[in-house]
Amino acid sequence: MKIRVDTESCSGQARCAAVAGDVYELDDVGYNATSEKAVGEGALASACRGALACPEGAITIVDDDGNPLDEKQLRKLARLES
Amino acid sequence: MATTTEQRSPVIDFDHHSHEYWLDIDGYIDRARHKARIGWSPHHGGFWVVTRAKEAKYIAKHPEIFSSGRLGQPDGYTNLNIPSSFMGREPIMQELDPPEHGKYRRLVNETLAPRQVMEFLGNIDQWVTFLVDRFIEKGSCNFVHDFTSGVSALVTLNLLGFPTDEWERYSGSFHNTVGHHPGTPEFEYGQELVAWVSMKCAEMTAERMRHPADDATSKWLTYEIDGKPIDPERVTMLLFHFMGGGTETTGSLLASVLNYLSEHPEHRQRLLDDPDFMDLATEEFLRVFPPAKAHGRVVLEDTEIDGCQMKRGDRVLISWVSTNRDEEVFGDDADQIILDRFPNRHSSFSNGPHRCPGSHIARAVFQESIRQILTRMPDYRVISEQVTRFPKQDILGGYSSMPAIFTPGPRWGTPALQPA
Repeated sequence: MKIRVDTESCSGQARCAAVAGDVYELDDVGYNATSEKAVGEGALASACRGALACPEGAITIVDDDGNPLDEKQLRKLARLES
Repeated sequence: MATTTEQRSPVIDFDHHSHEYWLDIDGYIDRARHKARIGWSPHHGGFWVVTRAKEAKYIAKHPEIFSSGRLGQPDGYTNLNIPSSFMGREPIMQELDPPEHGKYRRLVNETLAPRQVMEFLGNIDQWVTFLVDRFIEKGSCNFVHDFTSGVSALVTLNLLGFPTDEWERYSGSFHNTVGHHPGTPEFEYGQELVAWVSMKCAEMTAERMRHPADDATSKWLTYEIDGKPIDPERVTMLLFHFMGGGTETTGSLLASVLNYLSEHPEHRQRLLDDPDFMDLATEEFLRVFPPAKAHGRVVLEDTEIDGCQMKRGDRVLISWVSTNRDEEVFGDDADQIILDRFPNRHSSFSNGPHRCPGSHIARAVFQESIRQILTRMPDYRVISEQVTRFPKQDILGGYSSMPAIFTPGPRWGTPALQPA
C-alpha cells in the first residue's frame, strides 16, 4: 500500500499528523512533508486514520494495483468498524 | 456588477442578519440546506448562499474563480462580509488571493506552525493561570469578561512580542465590533479600539525597524518579497491579521463550551483524564460551535455549479455552520453532539489557502483553558438565565456575558509572565 498526498490541496490543517503522527510528518511551516510514501502492514491503520481525518481530502491510500481505497475500506482498515 | 433584476435560481429566503436566524441558527440553516445546495438570496443586494460541504470546499479551493478581493466594492469595502463593511484603505490578509496571498502566508505559517505552538505551550499555560488567579478566590466570575475575551489577546500579544499591559484594550476591540450593532455605543467604542489596535500595529512595525528584537515582527522585516525588501505596510497588515484573528475567535469557542459543560457536567472528568478524548471532543466542539459562521467571496469569471449560473461580480456566502452539519459528510447524526466523533472533517477553520493559520494555537489555548478551569473550578456552574449572546451572529458567533459561580480556590501564585 502507498500513501499519496495531493500537496496542492494540503492547506496545513495538520490533522493527519495529529491523529497519526507515527506515519505523517509535517514540514517547517506545518504542511504535509511527503507527497508519496510506502506504508507497511503495521502502520496501515494509522495511515488510514490520517487519510480519514484530512478536511481537504488531500490524502489517498492506494493499493498495490494503484487503486485508491474508498471511505468504507479506509474505515475498516482504520479499525473504526468491522 | 451583478444586479438583482437578472434571473438567478433557485431563489432561497436566506438572511443571516434576520431575527429568525439569530434565534435558532442551526434550525434555520438546516431548513436552508434541505431547500438548496446553493441558492440565490434576494437580501442585501442579492447573493449566493452555499450550504453543502462539497461545493463550499470547491469554492474555497478555487480562488481564481471565487476571489476574496474587493471586486465591485466601493473604495475600502470588503467582500468578506455581506452586506459589505468598511475594512480600510489597504486590503487585509484575508482579502488577498494567490499568488499574492502565498507570499505573506509563508511568514504567518512560520510563526504559527504546530511545532512553534508546542514551544509556546508553557506561555499559554501561564496566561491562563494569570487570568484564573484574578477571580479564583472570589467564587464567582464572568467567563466572557474575566477570561474568554482576554486569554487569546494576552497569548497573541505575547507571541508577537508586543507589550501586554494594555491587553484589555486589545481584547475589547474586536469583542465590541463583532458583538454589537453599528450605531450602538459599544460598537462605536469597539471601532475606536480597532483603529487604536491598527495604530499600535503600525507603531510596532516602526519601532522594530529602528530597534530589531527577537520577535516575529523583526523577523518579518528582514524578508524579501518578489526580490525586494518587504513593504513595512505589509508587516503592519500581518500584525493586524494576528490581532483580528486571535482576539475573539477562540474566546467564542471557549464560551460556547464552558456553557455546554455547565449543562453537561458528566463529560468534565473524562476531558481531564483522557487526552485522546480531549482531542476528539475539541474537534466536535469546533464543529458544532464554529466561531466563524460564514465567509464571503466574489465571482471573478462566469461559472456554473449545480446548475446555478454565476456571473462575474456575483457575491457568494459560504455558511460554515451549514457545511459542518452536512449529512453527506457527517451522517444521519450530524445534528447530534457526539464528543468522540471520528472522522470529523469540519470546516470551522475554513478550507483551502485561507485555512485559519491560527488553528493550531487556537486548539492549544482552548485545551489548556478547559483543563485549568475544570481542574481549579470543578463544580463551576454558569448562571444560565443571565447569559447573553452577541446581538448578531452573522459572521462571528459568541457571547456578551456569562456569569458563573463555583467553590472558591487558592491562587496558583505569581506566574512568571505578568502584563508588562
